[in-house]
Amino acid sequence: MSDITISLQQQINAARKAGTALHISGGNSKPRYGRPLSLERLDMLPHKGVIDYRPEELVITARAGTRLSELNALMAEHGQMLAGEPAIFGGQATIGGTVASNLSGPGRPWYGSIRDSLLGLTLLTGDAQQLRFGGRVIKNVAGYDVSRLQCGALGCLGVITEVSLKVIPRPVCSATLLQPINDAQDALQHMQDISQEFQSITGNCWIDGLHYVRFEGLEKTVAAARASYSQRYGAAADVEDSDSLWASIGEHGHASFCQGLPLWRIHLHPTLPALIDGFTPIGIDWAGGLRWVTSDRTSLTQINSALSGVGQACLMNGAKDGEEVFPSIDGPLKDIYLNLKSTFDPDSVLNPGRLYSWL
Amino acid sequence: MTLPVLQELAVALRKIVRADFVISDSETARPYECDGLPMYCQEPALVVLPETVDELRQVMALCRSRSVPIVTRGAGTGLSAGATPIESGVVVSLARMDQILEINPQARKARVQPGVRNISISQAAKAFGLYYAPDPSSQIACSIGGNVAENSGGVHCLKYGLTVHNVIQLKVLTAQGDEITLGSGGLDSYGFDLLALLTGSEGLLGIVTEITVRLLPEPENVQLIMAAFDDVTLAADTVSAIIAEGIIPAGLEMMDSFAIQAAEDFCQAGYPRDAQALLLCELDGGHTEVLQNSQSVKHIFEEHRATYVHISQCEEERLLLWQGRKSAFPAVGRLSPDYYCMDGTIPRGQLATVLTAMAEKSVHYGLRVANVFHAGDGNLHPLILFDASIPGELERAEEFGAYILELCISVGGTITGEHGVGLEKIRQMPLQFSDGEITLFHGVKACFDPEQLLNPGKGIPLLRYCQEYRAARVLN
Repeated sequence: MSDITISLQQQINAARKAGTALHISGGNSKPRYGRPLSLERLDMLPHKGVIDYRPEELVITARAGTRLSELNALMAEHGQMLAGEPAIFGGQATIGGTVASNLSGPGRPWYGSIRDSLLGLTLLTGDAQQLRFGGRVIKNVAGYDVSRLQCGALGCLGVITEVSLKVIPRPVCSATLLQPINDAQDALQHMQDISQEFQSITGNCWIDGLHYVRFEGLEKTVAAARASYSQRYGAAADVEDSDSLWASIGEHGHASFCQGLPLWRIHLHPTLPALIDGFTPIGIDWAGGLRWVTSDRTSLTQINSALSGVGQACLMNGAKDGEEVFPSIDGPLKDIYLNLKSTFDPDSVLNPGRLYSWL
Repeated sequence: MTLPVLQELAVALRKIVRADFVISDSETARPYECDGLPMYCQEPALVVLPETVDELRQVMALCRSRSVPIVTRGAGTGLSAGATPIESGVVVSLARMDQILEINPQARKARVQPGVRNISISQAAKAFGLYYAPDPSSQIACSIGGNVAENSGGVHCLKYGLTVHNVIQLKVLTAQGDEITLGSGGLDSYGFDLLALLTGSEGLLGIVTEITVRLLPEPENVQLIMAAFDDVTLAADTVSAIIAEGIIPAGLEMMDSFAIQAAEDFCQAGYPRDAQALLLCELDGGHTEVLQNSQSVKHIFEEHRATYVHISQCEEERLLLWQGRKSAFPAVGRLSPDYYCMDGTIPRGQLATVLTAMAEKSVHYGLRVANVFHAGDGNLHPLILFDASIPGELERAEEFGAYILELCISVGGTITGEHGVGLEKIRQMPLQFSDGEITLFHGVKACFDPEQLLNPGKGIPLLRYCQEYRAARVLN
């Protein structure tokens, strides 16, 4: 366990004084998410350790540099886990980066996201002040929800140094079944049908022409769901190493994601047709609410205008130098972003340009 | 506001909104003088009830052009004086913007206007086997817009979350009159989570004009298990034991002897009158899961020396048992001319300590206190009974209330779990937040509302006040 808050503050103050900026970096596990930065590194890895974990309270508090894999192992000992199944990215991911990116894995629609389970955090602002928001209790509505504002902000509004999260019980039993479905639209229809039929689903994904469904809960519940599913949909085989499968989907490490083309990650309304901007997705997750498209024949503007009002796409890899990767915002919303940035980080020391070139 | 200015503003407002929905006479405006916390009253200068977003936008533009502050109001059921009028301001009630715009059963979502009542969403969704999860006790009256403003909770938060976990998209009018849409339409959004920031912002950052909420499928099975204890501490410890077992109840509520007897007198729910504490544990989900977990919970209750354990045998009985809990506030209210409802949250493990300390202070202040609360969330709702007509009782009740909030903070909790800060808890904000944090909150407000038009003076205290408050505490 080590608390390096003071040295982090010193480094922020030094950068302010020198008129330079810092790249907040933990395990560097998500270099493809957000715009790349070439700045002095603010290394969060030494700022690590679990500060408090009370399984009966369903709350864990840890320093930002703590590896997610380490937290997962600790919680598993007590039959618990984090919501949202965030990816560990080969063991590199830290809890601070996980909260800052709010990238959820396959269980997200059923277990909620990291953002949903965030109870509170400690933040170093751009003027190196240490501030606390939220707390360690399940319900807390005092003051603005500055904690959740950090989820997805990628460090642009402050350095997360400590987080408190609500944890959930790990299901007693889990089973994953697969069956081939060639066509994306057929797969999507199947995913929506079974979402309505089965209440114990916690994974519902289609990739590489295979559909995967995961049932979790008590042994009897899982056995009943599996029997009913197999009877209703015929050829459904068991997946042996299902943990690796779901992890690979969450990590974008699945073979389909590695085609060397730009990868678009799309949040949208799950009932929308499979085809996005004229492109067939290579993968569909979250029962239809998350899609991946690989293509170099569209652009951020084009794909997002195809999704106008019903979803958002970001570019996960393949961005050219200086290119934006998140959906463009303008007008009053852009002003609010700029105002918030200057409120939290008046000298633009923390991760400038990581979210948007202008931020 | 001087009388001529007021009259001129009323005339201008009547050009935007139908004349009878601009209230300027004292008698008709009287119901708007407070929300659900009538200890804070202020007669409004003007009340206006727009019917459309366009009318609302024009009302806001007019107020802004004259630097007249706006207090937005839903159903007025809030419990922190967040909707108390400002002397020289206008109350904008969204009660007429009450349309359910869309129920989409395939996508399991509902798109509604802010004046729609919470329960109306579930009633409309019921035809599709769906419902809206957050259920504040005021759900038959409170509006969804008010729920968003307060980030309201309810009995089922432990499993299904607060309002912030159940809202997918918001349309908001900013103080400048711009309409912004927050939330992607999917489950998550990229960039700053402004949807979360606006939820629970108590009408200080914008006015919500449209809300999309997620709907959940009604569970296959629901069962309520009631357990009586002859010691409050035992009941409190049992709460943690259930959670530690890996069971997440849909609701886990606790009542003390005072509340049990009041509720039983009020609606004959079938509670054991001689119990010192009562736990109501609701389990929902698939048939098998509910049956198995019910047995586990029953076993835990027995292990923790419950004097009586009962599993609801039918839907009617389950609803009756809940009715006792849901009517506990009015039931306790019958026993006293006035009551003051607190809302602190504490770590569950501190329940026994805090309940004991409160009982001691109840004797100290000579004021009775009843406890009815969301034990699973650690969210306390002590009801302090007093009689405002007796000189000094209101002040003692407030002092007792302040003590309870300080107690919550001292054990690692918060001054408000679900009711909001409003005017009521603004005094205690410096206990929970430093000057740096309060300054940042003011900074956030300025990002959205630099001219301080929206509900100024609520939620976030002035820094000068925080320093005085801390200094006074040191002296005491």
